[in-house]
Amino acid sequence: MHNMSVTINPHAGHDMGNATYNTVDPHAGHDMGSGSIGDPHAGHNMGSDLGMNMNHEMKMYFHTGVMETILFYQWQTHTVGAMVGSCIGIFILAALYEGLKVLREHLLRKHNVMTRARSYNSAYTDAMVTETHATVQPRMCSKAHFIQTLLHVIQVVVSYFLMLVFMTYNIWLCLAVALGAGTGYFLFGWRKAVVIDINEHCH
Amino acid sequence: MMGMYFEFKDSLHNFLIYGWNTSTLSSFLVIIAVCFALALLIEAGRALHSILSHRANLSPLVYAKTSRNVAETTPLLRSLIIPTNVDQIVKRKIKYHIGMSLLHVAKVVVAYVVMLAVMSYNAWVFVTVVIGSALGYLIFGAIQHKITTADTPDTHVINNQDDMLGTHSQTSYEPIG
Repeated sequence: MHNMSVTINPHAGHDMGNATYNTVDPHAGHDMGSGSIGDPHAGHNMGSDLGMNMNHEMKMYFHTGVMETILFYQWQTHTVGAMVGSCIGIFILAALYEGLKVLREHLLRKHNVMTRARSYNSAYTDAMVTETHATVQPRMCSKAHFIQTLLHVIQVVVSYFLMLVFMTYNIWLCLAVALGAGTGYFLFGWRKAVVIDINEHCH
Repeated sequence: MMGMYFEFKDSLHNFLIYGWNTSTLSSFLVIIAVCFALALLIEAGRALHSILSHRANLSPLVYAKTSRNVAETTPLLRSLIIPTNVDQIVKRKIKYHIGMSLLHVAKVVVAYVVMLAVMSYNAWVFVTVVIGSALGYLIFGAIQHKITTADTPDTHVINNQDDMLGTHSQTSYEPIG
C-alpha cells in the first residue's frame, strides 16, 4: 500500500514546521513507510526541495498531535491554541448539525399537520354535517418542500464535512465531533423528549 | 496517498492504530472479525435507540409507575392508578434522554470508525462490513420490531400512533448517525 506521497506545494509561504515538529506524538521518531516491506518510494530524496514545501502525507491511523490541516488548505493548526480553537469550532458545528436534524423533523411535522388540517372540508346540510378530507399529496412546488430541500442540502454538506474532519484521524478532532454530536443531541432533543407538550399530539 | 481503489489484499498495514499490521493470515482474520463486530454494533445501537425511545414515550398508564409502588397488574386496576405528579414523569424522561444522548455518542463513534475501516480500501474489510450490517439488521431489527410493536391489549392504540409518527427515524438522510 502506498503511503508516501510528495506534493510540491506552490504556496511557498507556509512552513509546515518540518524542523519544529515538537508535538506529543510518541511516534515522532518514526519516519514514513515504517514496517512496509516493498515500498518503492522508500528511497525518495528530499533533494528536490528547491525552497518549496512538501505536505506531510496523511497519517492513516489515529494519532494525537497539534499540527493538522482541516478541510481546507488555509485551515491549518500549528499551535495548541489553534488546535483548541479548532476543536471548539468543530464541537459547535457537530452540535448545530444535530439541531438541524431536529429542525427538519419539526418543520416536516408542522407542515404535515397544516396540510391535513387544511384539507378538512365540512358540508352543512339540514340533516347532518359531513366531513370529508381528501388526502393531499405534498406538492413539489410548495414553499415548505423547498425549505426542506434547502435544509437537506445543508445537512448533507455539513455531515460530509464532519466525516472529513473525522478522517483527519486526529484524536482531539474526533473527540470534538463525537462529543459535539452527543451534546447537540442532548440539548436540541430535550424539548421533544422531556417536555410534555400536550398541544402537539396525544401520546 | 494510498491507492484510491478497492483491492483484495489479505494484509493490512497500520489499520486505524499505528503499528496494527498483519503479518499472518490469522492476525488478518482477527481484524476482519473486529470489523464484523463493529458493523454488528452499528445495527445494535440503532435498534437500541429505537427501543429506548419507544419505552420512553410509553404512557404512564402503561408502565403504571406510582409513588406507592403498588404492583397492580390487571389492566382495570392499572387504569385507575394515576401518577401522583408530573415531576416523576419528567424525571423519568430526563433519565431516558441522558441515556439516549450517551448512546448517540457511542453510535456516532462506532459509525465513524467503521467508515474509517472501509476507507482502508481493503475489499475484504468492505465485504465484511456489509455482511455484518446485513446480519445485524436481520437480528437486531427483528428484535426491535418485536419490542416496539408489541401487540398487547392495553398498548395497542398507543403503538399504532407511534407507528404513524414514525418510530424509525430514518426519514432524513443521515450518512452517519
